[in-house]
Amino acid sequence: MQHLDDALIAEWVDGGIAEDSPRHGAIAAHVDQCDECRIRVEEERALAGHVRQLLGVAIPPDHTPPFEEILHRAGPAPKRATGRSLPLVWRRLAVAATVVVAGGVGWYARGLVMERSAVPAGAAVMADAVGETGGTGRMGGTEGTGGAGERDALAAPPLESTVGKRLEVATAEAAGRGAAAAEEQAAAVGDTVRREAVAERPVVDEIVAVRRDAAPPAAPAVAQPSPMARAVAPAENEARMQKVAAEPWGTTTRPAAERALGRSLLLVPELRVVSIEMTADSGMVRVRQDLGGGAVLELLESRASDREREELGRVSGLVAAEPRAGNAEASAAATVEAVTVDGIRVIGRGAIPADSLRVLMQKLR
Amino acid sequence: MPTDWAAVYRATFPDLVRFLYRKVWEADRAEDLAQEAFVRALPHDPENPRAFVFTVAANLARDEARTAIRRRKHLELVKAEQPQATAESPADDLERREQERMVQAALSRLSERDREALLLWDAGLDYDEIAAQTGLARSAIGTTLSRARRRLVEAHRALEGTDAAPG
Repeated sequence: MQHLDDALIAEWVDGGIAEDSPRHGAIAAHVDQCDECRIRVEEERALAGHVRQLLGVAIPPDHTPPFEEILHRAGPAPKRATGRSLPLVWRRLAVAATVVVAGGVGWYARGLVMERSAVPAGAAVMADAVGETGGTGRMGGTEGTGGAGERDALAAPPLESTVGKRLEVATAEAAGRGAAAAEEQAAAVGDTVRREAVAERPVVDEIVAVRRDAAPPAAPAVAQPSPMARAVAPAENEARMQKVAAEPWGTTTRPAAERALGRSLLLVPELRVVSIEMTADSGMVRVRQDLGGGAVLELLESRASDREREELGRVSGLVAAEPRAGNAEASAAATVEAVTVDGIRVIGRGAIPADSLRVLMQKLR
Repeated sequence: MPTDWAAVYRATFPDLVRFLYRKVWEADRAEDLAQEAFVRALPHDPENPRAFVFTVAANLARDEARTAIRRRKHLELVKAEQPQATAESPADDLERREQERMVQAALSRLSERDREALLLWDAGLDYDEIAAQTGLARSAIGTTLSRARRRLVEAHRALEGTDAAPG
């Protein structure tokens, strides 16, 4: 037998040759007989041992979290990674529902988590306010002075933030400080109420919608497309949304979605996350949170550039309005509304059912 | 028969974290990526689950390095449950860090292919798995590993000499 080459010696040392193979016996016999090869085998073995020793210096703490953590992180009912593609008819229906309702509701959640007004009110105020809007609880949105920087700052707060913390982050950022400073300030101040309102320009590529995925008979009506909603949903945005909605959505994880977006997901605290999905092409992320009673809060986010966001905000055609503290108020143009509940000023657009809104507000308090 | 991911997880997770740690050099990040690799692997039913999850993890680490994304730790619960670092004396800790820094520097002197093969080998993957992961021919793995081991030791010795040299 010829001398062993380097590859064979390495494989021999690494145990890469099955013991029950004919090669194993032949090599073992040769190494026994050939001093040169035996020495090389020993050298390679010593080298491998030395490398193991070197690499052994660079080891992280030995910690294996329970497998349940992985399951928890994966979310409910992991699915096959093949992108889900609904039949065309259902996709079109989904598009219609999403476009009309989501386009109308618009910047709802952003308003929810970032503003508090100067006049605290009780929970009853919320119920009254919803009643005054004809039971549909339509919420209004304002076009404020907030620029792209403020919107980016909103993406920065930690997912675990309380409403108060989000408020503090947003306001600190609006004052020109960095996100890190804002978080520090938020931690220091805690859950105190900051009175300055932060206006936010509605951006329709990041949309919150409330709709019914399943329709239990006893549940209240949810998010019917209203003339108001249609009025504020420009054709450009509809086309964009239709294009996005036509893409296949695949289930993903929160870290993966955040990585794709390049920022934290906006989630309503304490609302159970039903699903996180993402499109393969456009990188849109869709998060659904359970509002109870069959209603689902749906948030769409994309990695839009600041310029694109500005453009989308501009073409949405909303009339700027500064809501007053109190119950539901309509703007002069009747396209924006605001409600104050327990000092939290809710600004958004479109239709949302009263009971779902109440659940949402309870979670946010 | 569907993959028993729980068993794969228990048998593979420490090796996977070690493998990733030597790529990102951050313990929390390595563990986070390892968890994410399993999360992504769960819906699949591969022939070789261990090799599959290493492939996913390597891709994650590669993406991470490419985009240089640093994000917050995802699972606060896990963080809270993590054991405290072992009580090392400051001198021991300093020496360990210095040794690790030298290993990191020595690894960085290898070619990407050699380094990948070496780290996979150290993580316990066999030649077939390393070949599948790196795209190398099965017959080239032995040569690659032998060369990588030799170069790592040489690089480490050179670094030791540099550090020991006066001035």
